[in-house]
Amino acid sequence: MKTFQIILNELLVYQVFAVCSAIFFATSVEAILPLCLIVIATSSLCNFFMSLVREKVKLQTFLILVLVFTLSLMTLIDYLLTMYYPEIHNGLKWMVGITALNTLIVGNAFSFARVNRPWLSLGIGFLNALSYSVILILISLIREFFYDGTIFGNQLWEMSKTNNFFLLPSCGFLLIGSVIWVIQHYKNTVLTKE
Amino acid sequence: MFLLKFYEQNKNYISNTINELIFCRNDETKSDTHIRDCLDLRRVMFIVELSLVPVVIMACYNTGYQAHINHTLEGVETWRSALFDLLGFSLGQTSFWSSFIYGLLFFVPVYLTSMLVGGAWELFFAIMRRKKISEGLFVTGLIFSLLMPASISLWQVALGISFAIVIGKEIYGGTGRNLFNPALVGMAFLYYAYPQAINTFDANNLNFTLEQAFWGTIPGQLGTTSFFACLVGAVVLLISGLASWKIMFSMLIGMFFSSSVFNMIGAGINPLFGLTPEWHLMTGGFAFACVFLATDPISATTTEMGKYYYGFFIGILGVIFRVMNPESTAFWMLAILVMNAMAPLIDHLVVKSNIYRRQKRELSNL
Repeated sequence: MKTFQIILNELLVYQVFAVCSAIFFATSVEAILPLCLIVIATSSLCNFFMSLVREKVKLQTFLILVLVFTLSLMTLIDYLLTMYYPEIHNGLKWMVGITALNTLIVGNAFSFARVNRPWLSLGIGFLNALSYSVILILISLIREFFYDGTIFGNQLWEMSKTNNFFLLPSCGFLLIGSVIWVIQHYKNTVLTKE
Repeated sequence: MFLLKFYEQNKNYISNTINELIFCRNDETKSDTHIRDCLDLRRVMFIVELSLVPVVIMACYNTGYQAHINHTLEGVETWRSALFDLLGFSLGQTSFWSSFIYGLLFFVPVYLTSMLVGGAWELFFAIMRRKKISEGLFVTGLIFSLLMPASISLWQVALGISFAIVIGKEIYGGTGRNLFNPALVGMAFLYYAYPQAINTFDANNLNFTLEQAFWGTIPGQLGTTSFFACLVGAVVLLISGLASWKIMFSMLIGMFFSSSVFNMIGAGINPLFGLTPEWHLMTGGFAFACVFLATDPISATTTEMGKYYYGFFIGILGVIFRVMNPESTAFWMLAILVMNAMAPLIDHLVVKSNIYRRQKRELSNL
């Protein structure tokens, strides 16, 4: 219960806001899964390596290093995708650039890795990105399912008409708002009673 | 199973809330220290309902009339035509009662669905929050069903009113706290989710006279066609002091202003640029939007000066939306939603400018 509370308080809730830039594209799970994997990989790696050099450099240099490292990691992944998985890269297009920004916010590397040991930083980076992915996948699942009744392209529910509302970017924000509503309600009622 | 358990747990509460909604409340103020006024929320909502009665009558009449003259359902065996035959009428007659009864068969299912589904949501939130059901639902449900086109499916109505009540109202904390007009939020949801279901008629196919548009025997949504019925409603609302004449007046001015500007540009590029102000006034649901939707006291501006700006910009935006997007039938809805979002900002600026002006006056007096 304690761990769950920590996840709710520290990780999941605040990642919700970082999702905003990616939420526009979260219309199907298939499109969003590679994005989540990229963010998880970069976030944990960035945290790990930044934590390794934390005692060697000053704070100002450290901030620049975080930026440089994250962006070069992103570029590397971008090249690797174009070389080996061009179809995934075509699906993502310029969303790869957005993941760099998300990694910076989500990874939290400059504050956490500055003062903590490498393996702990790696774990936190991984968990942060994981909770980010959970929210993103949840939203895209809801949007894909209620748009035309499919999940991963499998028809689960025969709909007579597609619900175009779930294609709108604003729908993503509405769903995020609902997720925050549910989490806050849960925190306010269930957790305070305990 | 879950529902039954839920019902068992809250049995007393549910019956109490429903009783309080239908019968008189016994928790009215009796001591001396309170402001005692005859106008409570229940009475406000009742007067608005009363002002909507002519609109409902015209809605039923016009829906039946349009169905008769367009022969849309002849030869199609539905429960409506079967029931209509059973009552002793036949399709194609355009007498008042024939049209009225046939229109009633379209209006009542939509209204009942929106009231039942909306009421279920209201009851759910009332139980969860241990509050009383507010009477706002009656007006929201009625206005929402008047905004629907006649051919809409009932499951779409249920979906729309669910969205209207949950996202449009309860998410902010219930009646009196909503940012947008709930009925319009529900309609906007349907407009974006199922455009074909809402845009069922051509709002700019004006092959009728102004007189027909005045009485409301033109194609349109269920309740938004009749200028005359809205005029009666406006009189009721203005006499009882519930709606602000400032919003209606400035909305009229804004509409005249922007349509005249478009007239000056000329109809060369877009034939709708040449649509004169009286056509904007009579067609496209302007009267309904002006009297019943824009003047909603919760989502409109609260400062007296702000009401002029609020109405004026609705008038301008509505005409722009209509002229620029000829396929749309919900231009006034979009204009009012945009200005609902802007209303707190307008209030803020009005208060700020007031403070600034008084400060300047004080300084000059020193």
